[in-house]
Amino acid sequence: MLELTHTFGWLIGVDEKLESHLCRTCGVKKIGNEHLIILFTPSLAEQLLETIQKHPKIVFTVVDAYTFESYQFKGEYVENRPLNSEEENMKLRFMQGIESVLFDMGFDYHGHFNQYADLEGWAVKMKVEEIYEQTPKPGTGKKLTVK
Amino acid sequence: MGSLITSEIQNALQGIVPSVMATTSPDGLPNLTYISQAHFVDDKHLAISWQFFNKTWKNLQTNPNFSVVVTAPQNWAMWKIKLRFVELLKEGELFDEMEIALEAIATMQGAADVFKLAAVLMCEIVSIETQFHGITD
Repeated sequence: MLELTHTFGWLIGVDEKLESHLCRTCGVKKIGNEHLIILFTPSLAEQLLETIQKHPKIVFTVVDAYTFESYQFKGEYVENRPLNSEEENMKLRFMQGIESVLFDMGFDYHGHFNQYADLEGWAVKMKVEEIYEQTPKPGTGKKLTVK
Repeated sequence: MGSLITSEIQNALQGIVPSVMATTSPDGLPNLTYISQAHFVDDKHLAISWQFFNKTWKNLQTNPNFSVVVTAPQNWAMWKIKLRFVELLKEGELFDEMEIALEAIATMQGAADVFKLAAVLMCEIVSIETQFHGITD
């Protein structure tokens, strides 16, 4: 599911005042068995990157825009860096996927979606400790794996 | 305080693009869940639909301050709304109104059998910040 482009994802961190900082993501990939590389656009949530470097407990969630299948990944921030060329392409595919979902919902941006899609991306590496199912249904929230 | 919820933001409250709700435990662990409705009550209050919250409810009982991010499908504008949980409602005019609206959203999304309103979280609006101003022609 992580590689699907018709998904909405979010990255979230919490500061010392217990205020949450969150941002839509624009791509994710699995690295080995424990890590994710999560792409996001720092200009949308300027305090997020600073927050997660000080307070490394973070959450990443992803939901399928058509089926609502959803998962929440809990773990720790590891590092951040600019996107490499492969990740730039991944970000482009995800942005095209979001635009396609919106088109299917009846919203045609007439070629202007690049105003959002061209925002600078950044990569965050996350060590995953727990995964929870979050698909909307009775009893949802079950832990799938434990560290 | 004047109305913080502009007509543009109200477009983002209709549930077309799922909104997210971020709560925090007392020890600083974040939790994020998707919400179907953030309902405009008045200039100072929003009501959030409660369907499947578990960890979210636990967090709210110890830390009533939380944030939602809403997105306008018309131009992809996004706002982060900081809220403070005030009261849980399980009946009444507002509950009935939101239940009907949720049924409409669920039917539109093909999920009428799973989207059932359990309760309504009445919340005070603390502040609103724009995350993305939206796409322009």
